[in-house]
Amino acid sequence: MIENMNYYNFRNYIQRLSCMLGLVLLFSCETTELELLDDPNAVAPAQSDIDYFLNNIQNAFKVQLEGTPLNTLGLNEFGMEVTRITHMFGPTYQNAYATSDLNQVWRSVYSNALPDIRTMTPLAEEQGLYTHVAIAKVLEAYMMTNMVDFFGDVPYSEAAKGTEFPNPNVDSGADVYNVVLNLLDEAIADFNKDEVSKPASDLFYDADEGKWIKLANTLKLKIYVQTRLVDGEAASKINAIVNGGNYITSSSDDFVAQYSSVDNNPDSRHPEFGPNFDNGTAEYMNTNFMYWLVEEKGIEDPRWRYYFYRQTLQNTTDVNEQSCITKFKPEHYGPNDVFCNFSDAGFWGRDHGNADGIPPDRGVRTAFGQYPVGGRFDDNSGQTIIDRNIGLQGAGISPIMLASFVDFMLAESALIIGVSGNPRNYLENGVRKSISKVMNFSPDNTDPDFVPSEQDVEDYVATVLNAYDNAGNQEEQLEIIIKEYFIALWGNGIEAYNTYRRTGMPRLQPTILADPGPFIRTFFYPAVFADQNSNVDQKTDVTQQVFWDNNPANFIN
Amino acid sequence: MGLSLLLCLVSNAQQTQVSGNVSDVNGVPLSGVNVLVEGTTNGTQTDFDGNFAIEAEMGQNLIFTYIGFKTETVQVNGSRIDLQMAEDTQQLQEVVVTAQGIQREQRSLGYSVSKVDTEQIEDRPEGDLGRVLRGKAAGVNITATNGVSGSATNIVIRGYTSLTGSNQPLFVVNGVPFDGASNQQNSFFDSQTESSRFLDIDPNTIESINVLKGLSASVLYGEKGRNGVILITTKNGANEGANKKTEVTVSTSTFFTDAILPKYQDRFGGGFHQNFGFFFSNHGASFNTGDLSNATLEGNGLFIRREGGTALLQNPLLRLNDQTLITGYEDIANSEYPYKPYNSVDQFFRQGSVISTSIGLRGGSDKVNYAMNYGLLEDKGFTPGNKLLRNTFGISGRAILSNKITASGNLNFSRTDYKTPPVAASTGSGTISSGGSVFGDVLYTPRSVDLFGLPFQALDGRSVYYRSGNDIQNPRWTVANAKARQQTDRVFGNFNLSLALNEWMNLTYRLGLDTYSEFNTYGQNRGGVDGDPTGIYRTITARNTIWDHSAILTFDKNITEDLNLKVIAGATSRRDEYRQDGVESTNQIVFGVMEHFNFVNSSTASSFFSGTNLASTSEVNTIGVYSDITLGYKDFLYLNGAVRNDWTSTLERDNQTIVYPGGSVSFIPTTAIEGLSNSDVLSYMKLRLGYGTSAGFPLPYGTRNTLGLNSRLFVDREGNVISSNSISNRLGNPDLKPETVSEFELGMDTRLFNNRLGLNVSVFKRNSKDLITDQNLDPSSGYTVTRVNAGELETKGIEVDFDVNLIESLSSGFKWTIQGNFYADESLVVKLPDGTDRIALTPTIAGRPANFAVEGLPIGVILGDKVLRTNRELTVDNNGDYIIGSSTTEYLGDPNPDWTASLDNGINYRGLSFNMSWQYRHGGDIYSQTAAALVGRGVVDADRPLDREKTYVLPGVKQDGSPNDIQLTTTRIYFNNLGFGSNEFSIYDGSTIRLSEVSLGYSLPKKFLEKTPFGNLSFTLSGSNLWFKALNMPHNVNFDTNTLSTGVGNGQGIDFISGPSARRYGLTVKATF
Repeated sequence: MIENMNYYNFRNYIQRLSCMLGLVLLFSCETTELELLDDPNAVAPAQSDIDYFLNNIQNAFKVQLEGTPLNTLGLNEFGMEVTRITHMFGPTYQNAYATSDLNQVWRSVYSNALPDIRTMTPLAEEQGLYTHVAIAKVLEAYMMTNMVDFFGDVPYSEAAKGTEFPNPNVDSGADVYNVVLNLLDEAIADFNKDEVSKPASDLFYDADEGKWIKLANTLKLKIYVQTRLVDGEAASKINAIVNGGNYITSSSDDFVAQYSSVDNNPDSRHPEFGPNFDNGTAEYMNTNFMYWLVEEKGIEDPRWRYYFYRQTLQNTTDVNEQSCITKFKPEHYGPNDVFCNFSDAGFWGRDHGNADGIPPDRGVRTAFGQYPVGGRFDDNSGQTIIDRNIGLQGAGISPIMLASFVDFMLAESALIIGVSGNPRNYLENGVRKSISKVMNFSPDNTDPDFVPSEQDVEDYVATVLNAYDNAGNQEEQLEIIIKEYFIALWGNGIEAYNTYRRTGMPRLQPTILADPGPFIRTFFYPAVFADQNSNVDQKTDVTQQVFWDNNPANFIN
Repeated sequence: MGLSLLLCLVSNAQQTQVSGNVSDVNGVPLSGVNVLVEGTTNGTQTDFDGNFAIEAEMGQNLIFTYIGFKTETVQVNGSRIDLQMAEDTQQLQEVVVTAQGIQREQRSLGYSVSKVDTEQIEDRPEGDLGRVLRGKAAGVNITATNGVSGSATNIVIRGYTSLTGSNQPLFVVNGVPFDGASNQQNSFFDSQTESSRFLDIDPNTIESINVLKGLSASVLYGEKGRNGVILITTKNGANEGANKKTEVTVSTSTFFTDAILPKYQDRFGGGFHQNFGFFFSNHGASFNTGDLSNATLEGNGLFIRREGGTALLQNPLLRLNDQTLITGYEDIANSEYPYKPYNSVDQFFRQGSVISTSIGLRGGSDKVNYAMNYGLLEDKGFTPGNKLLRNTFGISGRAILSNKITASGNLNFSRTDYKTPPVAASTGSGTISSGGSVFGDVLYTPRSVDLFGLPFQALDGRSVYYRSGNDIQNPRWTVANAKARQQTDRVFGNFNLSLALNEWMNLTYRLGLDTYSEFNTYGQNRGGVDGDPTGIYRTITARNTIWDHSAILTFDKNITEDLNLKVIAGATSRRDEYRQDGVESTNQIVFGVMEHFNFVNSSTASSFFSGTNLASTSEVNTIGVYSDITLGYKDFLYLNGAVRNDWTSTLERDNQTIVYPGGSVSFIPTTAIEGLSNSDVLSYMKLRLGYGTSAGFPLPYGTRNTLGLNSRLFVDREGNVISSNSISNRLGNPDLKPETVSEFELGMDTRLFNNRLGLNVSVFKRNSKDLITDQNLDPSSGYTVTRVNAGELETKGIEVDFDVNLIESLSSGFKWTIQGNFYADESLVVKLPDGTDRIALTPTIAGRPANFAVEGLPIGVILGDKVLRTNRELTVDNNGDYIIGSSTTEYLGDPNPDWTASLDNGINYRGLSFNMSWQYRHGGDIYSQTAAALVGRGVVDADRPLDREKTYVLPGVKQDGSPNDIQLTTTRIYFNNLGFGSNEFSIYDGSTIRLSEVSLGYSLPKKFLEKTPFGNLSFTLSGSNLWFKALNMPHNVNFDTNTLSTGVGNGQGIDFISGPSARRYGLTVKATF
């Protein structure tokens, strides 16, 4: 029925139509490509490099310890604050830290380090890069020990397995400790294998396998000391390591993370440096800790000028600048507890749990010194720090495991569980190694007029030993050992926090609030863990104890 | 087969020529009138002068139809027919532009389309199209992201469809997609000043806007249309209406803008516990000598003497710890400083101005017509340092090449230059992150601080302020030394070729191109306090391009006299390319020179919190084919079915395609049932039912794992750069598939009482399933985030539009109309991914509340911390302060307004017109850091202020359950507990009443203009946002609830002091030649 002409026209139209569509397609091949699935902003997993993996793992470990310049909430900061080495705002233990404060630590280990270790290890073994594998194992062991110490039961066997366990369950702290000991043994075995090549960059020991093995043994020693309350064989295990002699005994073997003074792209300074010096002082020192070093013994600690820097040599008299100066010492403070200021020489800190806002205090409170953050040596100049170009400019260290720490641990073990050796000798060695470490940290950046003399050091050591010799009982002796250990630990909150829970020592300044709630025996789980993991509930409070802490519920505060 | 049967009906017999002219009752020619020979498909249209010519046989009937006019049937008795057509007030056959630019009679639509006309858009004091649209259409929720001119605007239509995906609507300009996104270079807390790219359109060039809200309306746009579509027809894009005569329209406006600031108290000055001190807070001594705390000034270390009762103090400069700052200002430092209230904040803001000019030109002939326009906007904000300059050019043309081909196109160029001081989120104690904020540091300036009597910049350029530690950045320094700028060049346009295959079939090819490049800079000279004190300069160049090809075949035919069939079949491909590159420099060498060469360090990564690599690139392709079939029966029943199939490049092959159907019915009983519409009550009624579905595709690159590479992880002491690679924290999900959305819409459009009252009601229910959600993972799984299909969201809502011709007296020329709309919706998060309790929609910063999706609750609920309850009572600690509970995810409020409404009044009398628009928002909770900080710091009095010189007991109990009896100073109450204590005290109900627009216009009578070159001449005085009141917020804060500090995205009701809003008013003169 269709008229010819129309039919012809219609066919023509169809031809024109297909022509037009063809043009569209021809001009738009680029626009019809549907295989655009690889992210051009990243590389593919197959393009990985073992050295680069190891670099990231080392960095993640540092983040666990110290945080980052943008967020300094690493384990050292938490540990130092609760043990009154630096100031905790509080005011109660329950609300001192938001659960989100702990997120960065959790991520650094679980989503940053572990997936890289799991991916790198088989590839590195295939290529015979055993040193890479071994370093990763030691760092994994260290990180997991820290996680147990701060949080108690934590994921491990189901961790970092992606879709297989999107909500990992926790393992008991004791089980994780056992795995850690195995990892350290495996690492030692791997260090002893012949590797094809060493890591291109080892930020800790410059790929010295001997030192790494010493660290592995020292970590085992540390674990045995930590578990001495729950392990009857701890003493013999420690003795085995001491007798083996292959552990950190000399400062040349110290396990430290080094920072540089590069402030940009990326900020590679000690993470505490930028926040405290780039834009004025941020953190408060703890008044009590400064008191120990400056006043308490009647003799100045040779280390204090390296630890603290005073921006004024006089304390303020303006209540608007420091509100505690018109207040009475709280009734619950003992006669020996310092409150507010202990002298009028510019040691300007805060008492434990003082949560007041920051007053207009001219920003001249006492700041971090040269060691270990990389600030300025206190040469009695009392100058205000106005910019970042001071002292070592942030080229500090994280004192992770020092020879002096080992001596203090051995002093405690020798005294309490009869590990071989004389606790007094260990104590003396610990103090001397610590002072020497601090004084030799950057001697070029000090003022000789204020550098303690050899005699000052001898006097200090004698004072400590004298006190030890005059101690009435084992408890008083331990108190002296632990207090010296705390002083040596400046910059390391992890061992301070562990030691405080293990020994209940030293005696520390109370919080400003009479009832701050029970002490943090383990931290709340981080928000990212408690909120995102459907198999885990947040702890009801902070009184849960880690498996190696069988001390009574309220024995520390 | 069906097609060939239809073709059989075509008849081409030789006939005689009939010609004539069609006009309205006033003799004005009507162009575009359809003329059809009855019983055939032979038809034509009248031209611009109303003339037509058609072949017909004697005795046949010609049917003349024209929208809005009564259909006429005239028998052919000779070779000429002249006809006057009468308006049909009952039919209201308004034509609206629907999906893909297809024009449809309003009556045939089974869904609601909101139309906003040029009168409602042009000559407004706002140059931002988004903000002009506020309140103009029910169900369109528009919020400003901060107080500076040129800042981004958040638009959400009919509530949320996606949890973590975009909920912003699709912009279509003259038929082709247009990018309306905001390319945010930082997270909101680091300072986000980027514009929304619909800022590049001059509202004065817009002919009309149609908002497609429901899915049955937008199904042809595919997944991009799932959040609603804003269809914009520009004046140069609407060629149909062009006259043969050349017409030039010029309009120019001048407006002034004022910041709407808090009402500060003037009794107390800076300090704490009613002791004077140069604190951040304003809880110091009274200024009045009669007050107790005023007497304490004598005991203050800064006190010198009194003069006329006013205490004279040492100048705060003397107390600066770093005395090198005051070099050169020694005379000020040594002068006596009167302790009295200063109007520092009022002085800080200025009166802004907006100058806007637009010129339009149109003309043409039967076959060819053209239009051109130019627009200039210069908006100097009330914030010093804020300025928006925009130039837009557009040109378009259409030519009918032969009888069968029509070519048309338009091309637009716009250049936008926008400057502002930074606006980082502030928590009331300075900014919390790496950026500065011009608002954060100024709004709570203590009353006793003389911002303009003190220097703000040291000789070496550093910021100087009143605090002894110099630890707040002086806001004047911020204005002088910190700037964000965005310069955009944009070209967009389209090219259309339309081929009339015959009278009822048409083929169109359309190419759309929208490309822009943005040059973003952010810089702060060295010497600041917020962010990097060594100085920072960051430049980011971004380029975005959308290529859109479309081929559409339309078929429109009366199958029988009563049955009309319209078919559309189309294919489209869209390509989105985005690429940005950038450099950040720090450590400025010469103060004040903001160029990369003047900095020591440079990096390709941002040093800000949210910062990563400054370079990024993405490309996305989407292909779609679609069809839409409408069957109309006798002008009263329309059935519509539509289907679209999309392919995306963002999903793996197995999941990259999805098909989604839609359908609607429209029934007009007043036409169908004889006599129904003859009553005086019901003039017109339409019932409609629509069902639509859509899908959502994810952002690209979420299906595969990647390896992060950090070329500069660390620099060691030897200067070696350490690089790293690391398994990405995002777990790729190869099984990701599109999310789906479906919606039912039921509506009724009526005209009542002889067309005096119009009432349109729609109800809808929308369901989103398999929501593409960025699910945060427990990091111990090894990953922190993955993209999953999980969760379900439901939104139910009602939209009501009405208009009333209250008085219409043709004889006196007096007309009073009222129109308004009402919108209410309720959303519900039906389901979240297994094992997920809540999903954060905005980041939590500094322990402040954020928006979340929680199962069983409306979307976006605000969660944060609360005071610990003991036996349901607020609990205080041993000091008498509230104890904040450890959970940070307590329910605090629902930010979704219960309902919103607007009411417009229009009065016309001869040439005079008066319009007034009111808007009301009921409910919707707001977390307001502004209110918390201003009241908490004591610069603004609370509604029933406490006597600051007395002590009070907080309501509640002690931990042992006994009533609290511990006395606190008002500083502790306001600052420690209410202002900066638990989050729950900073949540307010957001109900707000607003006088959004007022205008008074006068149009000169034509007879006055006869001897002038003018065709029209009018003057309009207008104002916007002239007055508002947030009913349940602290009144003196004057907080504008139409603000959103979290930027364009899925946040709602979160305020981090992103600035006051503006009151705008001014004059427009408009002339046509």
